[in-house]
Amino acid sequence: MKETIIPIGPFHPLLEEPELFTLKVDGDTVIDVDVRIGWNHRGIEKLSQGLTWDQVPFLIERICGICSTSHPYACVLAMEEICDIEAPPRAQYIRPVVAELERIHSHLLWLGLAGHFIGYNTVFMWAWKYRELTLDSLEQLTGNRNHYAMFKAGGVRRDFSQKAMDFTMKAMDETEKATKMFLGAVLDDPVMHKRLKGVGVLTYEDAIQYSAVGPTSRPSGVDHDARRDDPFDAYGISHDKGVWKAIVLQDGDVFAKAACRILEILESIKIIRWCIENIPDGEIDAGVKEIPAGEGCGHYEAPRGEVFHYMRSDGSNFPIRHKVRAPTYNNLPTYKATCPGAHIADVALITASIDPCYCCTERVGVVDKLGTKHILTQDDLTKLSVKKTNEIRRKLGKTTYDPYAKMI
Amino acid sequence: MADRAMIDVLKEKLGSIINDISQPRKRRIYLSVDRENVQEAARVIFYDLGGRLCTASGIDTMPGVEIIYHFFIEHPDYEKIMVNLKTLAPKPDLITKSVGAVFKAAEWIEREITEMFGVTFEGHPDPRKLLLADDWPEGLYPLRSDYPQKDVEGFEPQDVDEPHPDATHLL
Repeated sequence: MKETIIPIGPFHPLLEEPELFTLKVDGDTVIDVDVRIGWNHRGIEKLSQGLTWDQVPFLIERICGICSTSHPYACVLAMEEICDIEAPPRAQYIRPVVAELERIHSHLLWLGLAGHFIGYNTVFMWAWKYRELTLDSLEQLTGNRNHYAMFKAGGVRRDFSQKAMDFTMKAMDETEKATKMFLGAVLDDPVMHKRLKGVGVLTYEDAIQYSAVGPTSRPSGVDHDARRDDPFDAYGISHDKGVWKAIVLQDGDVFAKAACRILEILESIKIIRWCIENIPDGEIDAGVKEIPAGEGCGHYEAPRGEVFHYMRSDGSNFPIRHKVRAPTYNNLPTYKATCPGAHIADVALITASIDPCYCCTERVGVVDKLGTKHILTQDDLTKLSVKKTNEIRRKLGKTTYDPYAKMI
Repeated sequence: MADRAMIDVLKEKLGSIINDISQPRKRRIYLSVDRENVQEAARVIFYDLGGRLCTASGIDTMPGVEIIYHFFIEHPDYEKIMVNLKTLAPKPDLITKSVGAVFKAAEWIEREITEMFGVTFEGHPDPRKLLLADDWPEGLYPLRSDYPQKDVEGFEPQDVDEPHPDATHLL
């Protein structure tokens, strides 16, 4: 059997981060994949062990620009576990609002990029347009569009103003409308069905074997969610009252992963509304002075899956060990299970953060069989696109998102 | 919902090999086993009790490198709880058994602990480097407490000031 090795990365103009994927292919089919990381290793764990407890959340926030609430959330939960305290009630309602807004903006960002990767730039434009509303809300509530600096051990740093909360409620109405539009327009699109269904299936057994987390494993039928299973702050109460639920789907393909994320946006909106409506008055900080000796684990369900922090204190000013585990660390190795057998063009989609140039190239000049060149105008392309969509729609028969629509 | 406490289930299933077990707070269990028994304990927690491996942490302590495997039990028949399985790779050899040989989720993190602390995991299916550079010097482990803070002997970063011969026309 002939094998060809195709390296993707580590530095490629279209990769978001340096990662090296070595694909072993036979013809167009991927046989094996090897992932190599480490080009972006910044030694945050080592740095954190040289900072005081107060400084740690600021460093941890900078692990990721998108998950800049999830990491501090898990980190302060670990610190609070060592101290054996809880945040005051008002802070317990402020934290989920910030964290869920972050989930919405992260999922919309992913949805836009996924659309971009498969050459569906309308989705990209829409998703990023509605993401602005969420970022505006975050700016009103916390003062920053990103890196909110809200979290500290024992509470939050700033209070919400009533004006900002009203703004957020209005923004959530708009976002809900837009999300439902996505659910209809994106998931009902025959092109999306054809492109995403049955691609990169992660089976339940593989999800368990690799301990995959978050929207990578939940669409494969793994029923877990750190917010529900290990309740903290307002998440436990709101889940018990039936405000929200963890989205668990069964197919495990890229389509189910997209659907899972869109449905999670709707759940996040419910949590935000409930928290803002029921927010109690009072203190926002428990006033932690010292962190005693001990060890603590904190985990939080970030947009990409569970974030895990382990901290150990010897009673001094600094943590003596701070272990950080981001969700992608557990999710990346699942490529070994999902990529083999896939078409090489699907690898970009399966990895979802990889090279769009295998996916789609827009053609403007067309050379026909006789060798004559035509130039197509935008109108021609639109006509061709509509014609093609209708053809696919006819071939597929009736497409519907009913199974997912029932879950709203 | 479970009718038996996880700490009792663990004592029953792993009774003979547990050195120490405690539940300091709600939904957190810490237990420690000898390095010879870590594979068996991990197998029971992962396969029989439905524990998802969150990650593993290495900590440089006086007697050796302490390794903690953090599991979260997600089996529908048991209560949802975090089980932290501790073992020790004693100095000076720092050898322990590989849990990556039992299930795949532990492969990457054990590769990382090998690089960062110099622990050898016996029976690891893929003991390559994961995070550090290929030219990282032998015997230098960044997360050990004796790691030198500056001027590492024998480690010269590659000289990047000299342009590549093919790129001289750009200057």
